[in-house]
Amino acid sequence: MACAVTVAREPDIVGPAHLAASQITVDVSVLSVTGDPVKGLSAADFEIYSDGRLVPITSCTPGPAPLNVVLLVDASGSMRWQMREEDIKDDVKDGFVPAVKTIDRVRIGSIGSQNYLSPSFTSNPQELKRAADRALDGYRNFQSPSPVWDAVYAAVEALSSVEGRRAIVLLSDGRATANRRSMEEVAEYAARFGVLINVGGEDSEHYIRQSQTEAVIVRAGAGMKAISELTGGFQMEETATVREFFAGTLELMRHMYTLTFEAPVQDGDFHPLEVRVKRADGTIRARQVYKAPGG
Amino acid sequence: MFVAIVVVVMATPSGRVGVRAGVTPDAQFRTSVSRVAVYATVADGSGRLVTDLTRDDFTIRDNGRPVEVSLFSNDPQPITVAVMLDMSGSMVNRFTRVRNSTIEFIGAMLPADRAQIGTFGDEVSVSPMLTSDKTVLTRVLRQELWPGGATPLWNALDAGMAALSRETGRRVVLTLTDGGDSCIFRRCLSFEDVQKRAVREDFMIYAIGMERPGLATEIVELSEETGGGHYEIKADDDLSSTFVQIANELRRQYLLGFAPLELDGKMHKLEVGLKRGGLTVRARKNYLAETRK
Repeated sequence: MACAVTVAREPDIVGPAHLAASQITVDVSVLSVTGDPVKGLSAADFEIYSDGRLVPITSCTPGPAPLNVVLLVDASGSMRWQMREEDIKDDVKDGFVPAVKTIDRVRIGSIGSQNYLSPSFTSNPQELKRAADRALDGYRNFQSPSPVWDAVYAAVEALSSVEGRRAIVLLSDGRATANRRSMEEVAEYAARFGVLINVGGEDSEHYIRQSQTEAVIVRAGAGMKAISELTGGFQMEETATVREFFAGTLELMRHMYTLTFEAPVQDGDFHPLEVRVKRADGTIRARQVYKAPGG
Repeated sequence: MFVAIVVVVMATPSGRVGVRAGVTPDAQFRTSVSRVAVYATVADGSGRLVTDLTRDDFTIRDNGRPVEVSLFSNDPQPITVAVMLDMSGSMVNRFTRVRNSTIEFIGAMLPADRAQIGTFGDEVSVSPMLTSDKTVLTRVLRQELWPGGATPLWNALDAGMAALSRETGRRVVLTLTDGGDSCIFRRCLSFEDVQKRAVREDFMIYAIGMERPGLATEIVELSEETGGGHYEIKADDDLSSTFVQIANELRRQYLLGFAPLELDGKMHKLEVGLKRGGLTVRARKNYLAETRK
């Protein structure tokens, strides 16, 4: 039950544990004031609340952990103002791919007229670079719509069959169009499988006057941010480059703690979840909802 | 469900509007090799729809030659429509009005009606769902309208037609815009491209123009040629009532059919007339007399 204590060297990367269906897994990040992962915490440093009630932590596994990741790059028309095709390809190939470790498993996809997802998980750099080329060919399809939520849904589906830490890294402006799936549906689906959704992209706010008395505030990125917070994912900082976002997110996710607890009720429903850390200097990030087994 | 997220903060739409009930979903008919379908709108001198005409009140001329009206229906017609909303930069200050009026239009749909929502501006996008599910359509309108960009009007109309291309029966593309085409994409369609497709594939084009500058002459021409309609909206006009007017018009169109005199693979001039005086009729002005395959 006790979590590992601080060690002199990085612990070996551990594989996923096999859990009973009633056990709920929560990936938890604790960052210091400088933004670095806080290491050496134990179960005693955490509290988990389900529906507002404290529940016992049954296990705590520190990072680093292998990652199962789907990288999704929005290649729709509205993104053309944000990034050049050459730049985004370079960012994926020279920023994201080198940050993937051999024990990780990654697929690369793009969002556009027809969403694309590379056929299989791999950590092979050459395969990943080819996948990036395939995903981002025709990146400058100026007219194409942005089925962001459909792409995220497909990514969650791809991750649902793998064990261990599951995450999506999404680069988009959030201007989702032409989706079959709603944002809420996708958020629930990600919450169901405990998939972390990390988001990056310009989150500009537009205040548009409609009349003398009415205005509208449009924040395309607000939906992505909300889903990221709900699932415990990271968000790209305003000052960060795309490469920094890619590499930094993988590194931070690798060092998350994995906590488990026994679901207090087994009704098959979604329940609010809150994870606290008993340290004043730590910023915690974890998913805010889980789906109980049964029902 | 537990998970609830708010993305865009906007005004709440007002109440719904009522429309006439009682459509018959199987009353749709589309041109085949052996019979040409024509939907006709009839109005009196004050613009009110006239819905009590009989087969004998109509005349049809195919390339100037009279033909028998072999099919007639004045049953209310279900609506199959792609609604293409202009989200270009010049429309941003009408964003709420457009969105809320369209939501009211969706609210007024009858169970047999189906709609598909599309937008054009930075992108041209059409929701993949042609549906009568008002919850889905309203969700699209609330989550997938993003103002900004140019006005790729012809690309948008083409996308609307493509979205309905597999549908049978009357297919309507309704666009709401404030001006002419200003496409900046690599591949920009021309008016002639869209006109050709609409006529050959029998799409009915409706257009609502927001003032300053309003509808371009080409789209007015296109709507008239395809038997659709066009409406100009002033700043203070009720956009919702225009949507309802179009919905009522579509439901109350007459379905006429005739056997083409010659299947020569060419465009034929079509003239629908009325034997009664004081009424006006709108219907498509030509059709493609496809040869048998």
